[in-house]
Amino acid sequence: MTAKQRKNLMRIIAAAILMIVLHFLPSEGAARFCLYMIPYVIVGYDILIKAAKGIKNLRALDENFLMAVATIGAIILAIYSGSGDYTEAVAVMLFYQIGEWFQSYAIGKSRKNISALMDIRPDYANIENLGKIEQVDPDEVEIGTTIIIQPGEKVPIDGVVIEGNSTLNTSALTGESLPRNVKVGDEIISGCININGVLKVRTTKMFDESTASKI
Amino acid sequence: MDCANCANLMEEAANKIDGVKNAVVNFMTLKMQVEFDEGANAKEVMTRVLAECKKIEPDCEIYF
Repeated sequence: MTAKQRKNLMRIIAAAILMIVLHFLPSEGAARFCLYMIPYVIVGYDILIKAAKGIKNLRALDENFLMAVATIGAIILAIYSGSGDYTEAVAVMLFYQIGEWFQSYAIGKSRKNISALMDIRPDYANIENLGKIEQVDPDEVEIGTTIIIQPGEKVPIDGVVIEGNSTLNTSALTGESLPRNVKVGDEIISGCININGVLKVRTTKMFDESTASKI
Repeated sequence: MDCANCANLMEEAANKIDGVKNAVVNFMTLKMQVEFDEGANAKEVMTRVLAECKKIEPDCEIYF
């Protein structure tokens, strides 16, 4: 939850509690109007401001304007009919804000998931050079090079296993939760995470053509 | 920014500004890519882009 979402949730809860309290609190006339305006303003002030700004910028017809018209209309009706039923205006604004809050929460979640998915792009590849392991930019690895993938690392480039066997976590790519066992001769695709064994892989594609880059 | 349509409106607004060659707003990653016309002052153009976007989404913010 971001700070903004937390603040909006607090506003929604505060307004809902106030509404319930006011429901049991007998009041009349102007005092009643003022009392009900408290939760209304708490929950809806940003909508009213946005609606006003929208009109100023000649972009009036959006959902903020709609909510402003609906709730102010309900308040005027309550005043004119003399019923003093301001609950309607407050409730409309309250439910709208609840909807907005859930929308923002859901989008925040999917954003997080997507950025986690972006993370499968590997940032280096290990190649063996004169008995030492060197980290290089996967862009520079040519087809047919032997790369080494250590446990816990991501497979940078598609290739065929030439030495070692291990288990790969493919869930980021395929959604399959069961780890996949690989042995010599198996093709593996980039973006998987090597879980337990060291693998030597002969690359069959350039980095740009590999599965993780295509995504 | 909570809806894809607002992102689209911001993109359209940014594209209309002088000095902007091409602007793309990615709603999901919250990123805006702006290509400038040659010789344009990037900082000054971005200030105008921000002003236009504020008209669409009063509580939006662009960091550049």
